Amino acid sequence: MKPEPLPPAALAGDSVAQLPPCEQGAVQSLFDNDLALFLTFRAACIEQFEHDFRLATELLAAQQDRAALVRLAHSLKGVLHTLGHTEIGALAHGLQVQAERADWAELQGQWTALRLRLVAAFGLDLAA
Amino acid sequence: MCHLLQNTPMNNTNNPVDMSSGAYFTTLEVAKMLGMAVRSVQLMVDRGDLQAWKTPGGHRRITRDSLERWIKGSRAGVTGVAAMHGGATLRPSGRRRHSVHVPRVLLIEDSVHFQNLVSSLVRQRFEGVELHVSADAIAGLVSFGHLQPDLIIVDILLPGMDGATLIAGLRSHALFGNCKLIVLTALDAAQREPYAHALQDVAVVHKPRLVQDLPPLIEAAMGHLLDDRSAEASPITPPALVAGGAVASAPAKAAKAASKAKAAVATEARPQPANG
Repeated sequence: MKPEPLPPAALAGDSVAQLPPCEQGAVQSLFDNDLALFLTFRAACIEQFEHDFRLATELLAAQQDRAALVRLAHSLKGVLHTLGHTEIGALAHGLQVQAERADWAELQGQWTALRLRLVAAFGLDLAA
Repeated sequence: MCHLLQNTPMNNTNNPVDMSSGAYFTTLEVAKMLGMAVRSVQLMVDRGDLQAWKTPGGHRRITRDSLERWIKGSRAGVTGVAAMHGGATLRPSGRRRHSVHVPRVLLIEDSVHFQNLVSSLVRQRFEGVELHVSADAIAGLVSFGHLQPDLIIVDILLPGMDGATLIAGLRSHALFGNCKLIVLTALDAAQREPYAHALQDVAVVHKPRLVQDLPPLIEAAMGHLLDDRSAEASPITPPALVAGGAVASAPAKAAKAASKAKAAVATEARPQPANG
């Protein structure tokens, strides 16, 4: 199930009901219903995704630093689980595992799939 | 107010980068990092244990690569070497001393996402705590020597050094003293198996549960320092009340959190089952 992208304006209302169900669950079960903290974290993550996307693009183009790609995927996995997006987190986990050994073309495909899900889930508008 | 000092965040060029993130270190920086005397580090350079070049003024600049190799090769940690060479002269407590003690936390975490989350949490819930962030293990060790924090929060997977080596190095550091240690990880129980030895008797927080599990552990680790500050800020507080500790000087919620944290420490400190 793919969550609906959340328009930036929807966050202004500070209402849990405006969040996709998986994020509502995270607010309740992982953030002790602290919506303000969740939204602060979510906004910071969206900002950081831009840097993550750029780094992934550079790593996949250079095809040299597998350890850095493992760490990036590992970071995304943790973040996505914390935000309640466990399905996308599983994609990040898959990339993390495969980054240690798979060929670069396969990793490029996995990253593209993960990036598209991130863009859709968070309503990102990134050129990367 | 929480003071946040970013040292070397990953992928974020907007933040200042401290000198410890560079390719070279001074002998003083390395000495602080390893808990050794400056002269001992100079001798290590002269023996070729560490690679360095000299400035026109004759000061050694030690390469980061050689330091990483040396630390990785020293599985026994750094204390043994410090003792072997005479080591650093410590105060009896092994801790920094200030007229007014500012509770200090060092976060060693390469993920900017989790740097942000821990920073938000500390800012929100631990007024007066000074938070420093290092983005890799070597920078973290340097910052540890500089800062002598009361609490270190460290990620297991870091660039430059595996978590087990870092944790072993930190715990056996000559300056470690009463510093508390909390480990953050996104690894599940099975994935933590390779680190089981290093994680023995250490509080471990699974990252998705960070918001719930980290604050009570910080409270348990630093509550007495926070209480001390409350006492300093309230000179009319009767001594008997201060002696009551967290229960007397902090809200009931904090006391409950500390109690919960003790339970969490006990739970997490057990060796993780090898669930396939």
